[in-house]
This record gives sequence, C-alpha cells and structure tokens, in this order.
Amino acid sequence: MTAFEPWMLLVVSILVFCIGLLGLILRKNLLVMLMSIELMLNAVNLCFVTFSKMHQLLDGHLTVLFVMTVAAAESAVGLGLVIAMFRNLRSVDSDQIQLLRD
Amino acid sequence: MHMNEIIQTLMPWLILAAGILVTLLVSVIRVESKRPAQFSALLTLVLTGVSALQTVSLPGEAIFSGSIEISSLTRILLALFSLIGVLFVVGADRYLSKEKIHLSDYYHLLLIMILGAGIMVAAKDLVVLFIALEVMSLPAYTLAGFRRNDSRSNEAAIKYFVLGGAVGAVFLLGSAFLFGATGSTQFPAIYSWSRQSVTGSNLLFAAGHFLVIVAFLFKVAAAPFHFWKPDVYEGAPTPVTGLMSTLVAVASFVTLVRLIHLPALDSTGWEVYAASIKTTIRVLAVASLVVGSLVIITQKNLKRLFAYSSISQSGYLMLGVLASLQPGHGIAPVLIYLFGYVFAAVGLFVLLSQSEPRGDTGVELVDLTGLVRRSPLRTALWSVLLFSMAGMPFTVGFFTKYFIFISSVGSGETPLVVLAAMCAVVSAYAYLRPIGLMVMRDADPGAAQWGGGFWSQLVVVVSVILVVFLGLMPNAMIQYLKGIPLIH
Repeated sequence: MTAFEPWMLLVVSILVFCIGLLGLILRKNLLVMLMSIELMLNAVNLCFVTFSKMHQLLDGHLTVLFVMTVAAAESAVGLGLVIAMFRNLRSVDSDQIQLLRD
Repeated sequence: MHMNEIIQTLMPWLILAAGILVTLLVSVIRVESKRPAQFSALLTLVLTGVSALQTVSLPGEAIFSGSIEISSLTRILLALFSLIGVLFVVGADRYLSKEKIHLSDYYHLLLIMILGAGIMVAAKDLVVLFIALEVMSLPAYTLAGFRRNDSRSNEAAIKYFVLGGAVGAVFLLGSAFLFGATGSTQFPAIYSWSRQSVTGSNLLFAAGHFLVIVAFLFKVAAAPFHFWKPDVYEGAPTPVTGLMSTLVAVASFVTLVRLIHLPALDSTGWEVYAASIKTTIRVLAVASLVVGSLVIITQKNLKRLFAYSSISQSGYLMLGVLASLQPGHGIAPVLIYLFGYVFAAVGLFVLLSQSEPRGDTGVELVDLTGLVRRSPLRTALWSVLLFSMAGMPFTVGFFTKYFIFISSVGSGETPLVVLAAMCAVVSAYAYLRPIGLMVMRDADPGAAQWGGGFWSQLVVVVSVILVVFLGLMPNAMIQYLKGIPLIH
C-alpha cells in the first residue's frame, strides 16, 4: 500500500477549507452556509491529523475529537437559529435578511 | 499536583460550573416562575466573584499539564465577568418582561457565556482556547436571537452565528498550522520553540500566527474587520448587546493580546517579524480610530452609535497593545482601559434598555429629546456615562484614555497618539449631541417613553458611582492593575 505524502494531505485540507470559505461567501442559502462551516472545520481536522502524523504525536488526533464535538454543538445552535428565522420570514435565503443596515 | 490543590485553585470556576447546572435544573423544575433561576444565577455569580477575589493575590499556577493557567490576571478578570453578569441579571429583569421574553434560559445562557470567557482568558493551549471560545460564543448567538418572534433579532443572531462560525474555523486552521510548525498547541511550548529557532519565523508559523490573530481581530471588531458589528448590535436584545460589548469584548481583547505575544518577539532572528507585527497593529489602530470616530457622527440609532463607539475603542486599545510590545511594558494600559470602558458601558446599555418598546424601530436619537423635563435623574445618569465615553475629566474615561496615551508616547508612538487625540475630539461630538438633545430640545411628539423600574435604575446608579469614583480617584485602580504581571 502506498502511503500518502503529508504535503498532499495538507493541500487537500487547505483546498477543502477554501471551498468551505467560498461556499460561505458566495452561496445565499443559509443551510448551505451551515454546511460550509462544517466543511471548514472538517478540513482543519484533516490538517491536524496530518501534522500529528508528521510529528509522530497523538495530540492532533485528540484535537479532532474535540473539534467534532464543538462542530456538532455549533450546527445544533445554527439550525435552531435558521428555524427561528424561517418561522418569521418563510425563507432560508440570506438575501432576505436585510432589515438591519445603515 | 494533588487533586485537592487543583480543586482549590479552580474553585471559582468550579462554583460557576456547578451554578450553571443548578440554574438549569431549577429552571426546568419551576417552569412557571423565573425567580428561582434568577436567584440561583445571582447567587452563583456572587459566590464566583467573591471566591475569585479572595484568592486574587495567590501566585499563578499551571494545571491540567499546562493547558490552563490560573493567575492573578485570570482571577481578577473572572471577578470582573461576574460583576458584569450580576449587573446584567439585575438590570435586564424589567427589559425581559417588557419584551415578553422573560425565560429562565436567559440566566443559564448568561452563566455559560461567563464560564467560557473565564476559561478563555485562562487557557494556555490553543485547543482549550478554541473550546472556551465556542463555549462563550454559542450562548451568545442564542441570546442574540432571544427575541425569537422578531425578525431583526433573528437576523442579528444569524449574522453573528455565520461570522462566529467562520472565525472559529479560521482560528482552528491557524492553530493547526502552529501545531504543524512547532509540534505543540501549548503556549509555553510555542514560546520556547520561538526562542530556540534562530532562523527566525518560518512560513507555516507566520501563517498560523496570522490566522489566529485575524480570527480575534474579527471578534474584537477592529477595522477593517468590523462590518458585522453594527448590524448585530442593533438587532440583538439590548442587555445582550451590552454583554457582547463588555464581557465578550474584554475576554476577546485580552486573548488577542496574549495571542500576539505567543512567540518570543524579542529573541534574535525575530526582528523583522516583530517589526511587521507592529506595523500591522499601527495600521489597524489608525483604521479603527478613523472609521469609528467618523462614522459614529452620522449615526441616529443609539445601538449602532455604540457599535461604532466600540470600534473606535478597539483603536485606542491597539495603542495599548503597541505599548505592551515594548520590552518591559505590561498590559496594564489595556487592562485599565478595558475596566474603565466596561464600567461605563454596562450603565449605558442598561439605560438604553429602559426605553419603552416602539414596535419595529430601535432607540433613535430623537427618543432622547426633552428628556430633562420628563426625567431629570435619567438625564443626569446619561450625561455622566456619555461624558465618560467621550473622555471628559472627572470621569474614569478621561484617565483610561490619558493613561493609554501616556504609555504610547513612552513607547515612541507620538504621531499615533496625536491622531488618536484628534479622533477623540471628533467623536466627542457624537457623545455630546445626545446630551444636547436631552437638555435643549423639546420632546419630539414621536419620542419614546422611558421607564426603568427600581432595579435597572440601581444598576445604572452603581455604574455611574463607579465611573465617578474611579474618575476622581483613579490611582487605586491604576496601581492595582499595574501590579498584575505580564502574560508569560
């Protein structure tokens, strides 16, 4: 079995992170934006595991568990907020939320 | 370290954590009444504050294999957070009933925020810091959307959440890079790595450090990372805006300073890196000062006005950060400024929450017209607090600004101080105009009614007393906070 070089994994994780960031900026659907945040966090997880392997340490693997827990809590709160908004505005489109501006 | 000693060291934090559980439990058992949860939250905060103050002079101790360090700085900050919590529990009571959102959840969410902030300032490990950041932020998102039938509150919560989520991810990516570069996520290990690396910074380290700092620049809303703040401030319930402006701001700013000091910037080979960090902070200071002070003049909505005010506060604080980068200087100017700002801001936001609801629109400048005839006491309270924000003498705001200017001149940033002083003069117009409207103009027919109730007025009076007392006798606070050692 051929092992992945660490730099390949790093490139992948940074690419995935950028996809998440772009999704957050470009997409208008709030649910997709939530998914984009999850994507960013998971990209970081890959990054942590890769560095962990490079340094021959277990710290990165442990970090991943914490990050997954936090990500779950975060999406729970996020979904709650989206539902609250949907009840009032009947939409999950971020273009609809423009009540607050100068 | 023995288990008993760990418990002893962590006592204030443990009391707070236990209090959260009790408050949650009480609010589930007695659903129909809010008083038990309120009482339990107050008791928890008082006990936490007292036990943090009691142990404040004990030496710092690193626990949990160095992930958390409990020191005088973290204890005094936890005591400050508890005080903020007490004031916003007592002061928000009437606002919550008035807006028909008086749920027990306000109290335990507030406690969780304080716990997160308290751990965040004590964290010595990037991962612990991240978890604490989220523990503080998740209840903050929820509280921002607490007026759940109001779409403006929904919008503020969503905006805050999306930004906060992205900030968390960016911070975490930075931590991963720092871990990759140094092989550890712990502050002392990263610090000693930077001491040993004679070649100066490497690219991975610089990228990681940049990302963690940018994440917290978003949190403290230093320009050009400030665009989210006015919207979130305007839409969130007023006491929650107050919490963001005091609790979250203090915790985030102290953490930002600690993150800037993460590598040993004075070791050999790091001169270029340290210089570029200083330049960046100068640029941020200028941007925040100019944006904050110029845009604040045009604001009619009071919450947006205070949002821009807090953006310009980030500018002044950046001057303190620059001074702290000078060898031998501590973060005393930053701490003193933050304390002074908090004491005034708590009173201002509680005052702001005393206006009677007017349907869709928030509190505008026009609502203050002719207030002196309708409510002279309230006008006096407004005036003192606004004077403090503007940095007028005999209020704490004067001395905190003065102290930060003096320490910046001492570190050779005279041009920046001149600019900051000019910005202070310009923004003074924005703080003094409301006073003019209250005193000189007749009440506008559309102006809102004001009515606070005893408890929220008491909170404002406490805040005013603190502002005036520390304004007349600032030495005690300055000497005390100066004695608090630097972060490492």
